[in-house]
Amino acid sequence: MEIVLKNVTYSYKNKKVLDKINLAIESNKITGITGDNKSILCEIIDDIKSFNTGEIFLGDISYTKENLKTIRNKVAMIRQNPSDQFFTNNPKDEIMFLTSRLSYKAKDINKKINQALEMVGLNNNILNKNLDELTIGEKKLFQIAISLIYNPDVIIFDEAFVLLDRINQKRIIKLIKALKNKYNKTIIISSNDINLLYEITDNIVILRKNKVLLQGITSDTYQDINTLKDKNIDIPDLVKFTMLAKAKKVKLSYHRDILDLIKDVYKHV
Amino acid sequence: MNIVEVKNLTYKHNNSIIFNNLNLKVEENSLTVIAGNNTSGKTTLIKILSGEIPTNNNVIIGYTYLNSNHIYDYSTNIGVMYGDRLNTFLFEDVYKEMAFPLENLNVDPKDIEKRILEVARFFDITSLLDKKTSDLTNSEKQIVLIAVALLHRPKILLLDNPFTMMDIKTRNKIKNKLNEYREKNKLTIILTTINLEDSLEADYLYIINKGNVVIEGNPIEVLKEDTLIKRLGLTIPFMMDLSLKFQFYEILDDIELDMNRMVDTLWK
Repeated sequence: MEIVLKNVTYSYKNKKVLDKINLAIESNKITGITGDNKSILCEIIDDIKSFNTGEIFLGDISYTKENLKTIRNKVAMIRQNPSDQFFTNNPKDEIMFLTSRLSYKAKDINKKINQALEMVGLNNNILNKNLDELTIGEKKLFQIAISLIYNPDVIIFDEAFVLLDRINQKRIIKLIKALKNKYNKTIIISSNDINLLYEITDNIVILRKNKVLLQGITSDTYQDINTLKDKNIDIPDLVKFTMLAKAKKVKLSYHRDILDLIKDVYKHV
Repeated sequence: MNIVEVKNLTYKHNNSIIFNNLNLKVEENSLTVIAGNNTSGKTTLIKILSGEIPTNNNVIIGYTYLNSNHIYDYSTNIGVMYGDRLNTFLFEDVYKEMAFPLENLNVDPKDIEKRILEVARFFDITSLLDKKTSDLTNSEKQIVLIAVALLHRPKILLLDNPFTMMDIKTRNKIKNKLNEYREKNKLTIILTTINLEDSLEADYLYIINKGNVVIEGNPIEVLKEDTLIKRLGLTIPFMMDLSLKFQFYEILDDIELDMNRMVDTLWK
């Protein structure tokens, strides 16, 4: 589902943390958010933080008090630190606690839990463990599984890759891609790792202070060298390399995979 | 001289072995990086080195064993910062948070203010001093935590995943500041990370896995073992990865970590 923000302002202690934000987050795409105050923007889109002025629409549903429940069931957020999100110490209790307000029958819940665990690639024996016995990778996947029980349309990954090693990063990236391609979810990823965002996102939003500095298709945005330089934006390593080669009149293309870059360099030396 | 030595450390938690005969040496005034994947036990190691988890005479700091008898001496000599403890500030005000460890050590109140200003100026965070800890961004929280860990002028600074919430520019700035501080003050830094980009400026790199050292040495030499390192679940730094692959295809002779220089070498 598409999310549109119109002139959204969020103030904290009389200071504008987000000032007149206009954004369109495309349906069924992976949108990366990087820069200042990205977590606050995620919390506002998740509707757990309320904004001061402006409008937000999820499809044609407006973010109002009356629609709060609907929106919360359609938007899920995976927080950076899984432990911040857990209320209990046992995966089963955790699920029961979080689903108690849903009007599912017990039988259906078990079915949904198993489906969700299967979607994220976790074995259901995880339900017999304690949450603190799980590795950080398993905790992240479990967080995602819980949110999938609601069958949300939009999934927000706040600081998606912090503290994850390459093995876990790969698992999460694979899952994110499957959620988009196989289950038609709209994905939002906040991260300061621009290399990873460049690798996996369709669209990118760059925040600076309390404004949107740039938004657009990731590959286009990171090829607009003049704008990147003018606005002093961090450039992904892969882009920077091609940029430097182009400055030397080498006909190198922009690549999103290091192996493609290497093949291209091989042709041009 | 080695300022820290870990000798045959074995440590179990909930019946699973975290360290199995681990041995490490850290040279005084060095930047020593310990890298490993999510299950390698890095944070546990920092807790052991800081005395938070007691062990039996396995850790030598200076010339003495780290054990409960000496814990006070060590707490004055060691500064520790956990990059993921961002919601555990003790005070509402940044200034009070910074003053507390010094008050605890009975530092003269006049001296406390001086020291806080000194460290805050050094890390360029004076504007944060009158803020509330809850109003800081995660990146600012990490910088404040690093500053707090240095305020009592420790000889050894332990940093556990310290830069995770910082963007590239901030990360580089703080790394440079830390190196400058280390050289000026004869500080020894032990840094754990999953991000091997953090190891490039290190004097020594340990890669640990399943409670043991897998490879150790000069970071550039260690990172040449790229196949093994990737198998352990870590990412090879971008420029190192490029260098090694270009060497393999014989389009580059040497490792080059500076992108400008690499491009200059490839297309003269």
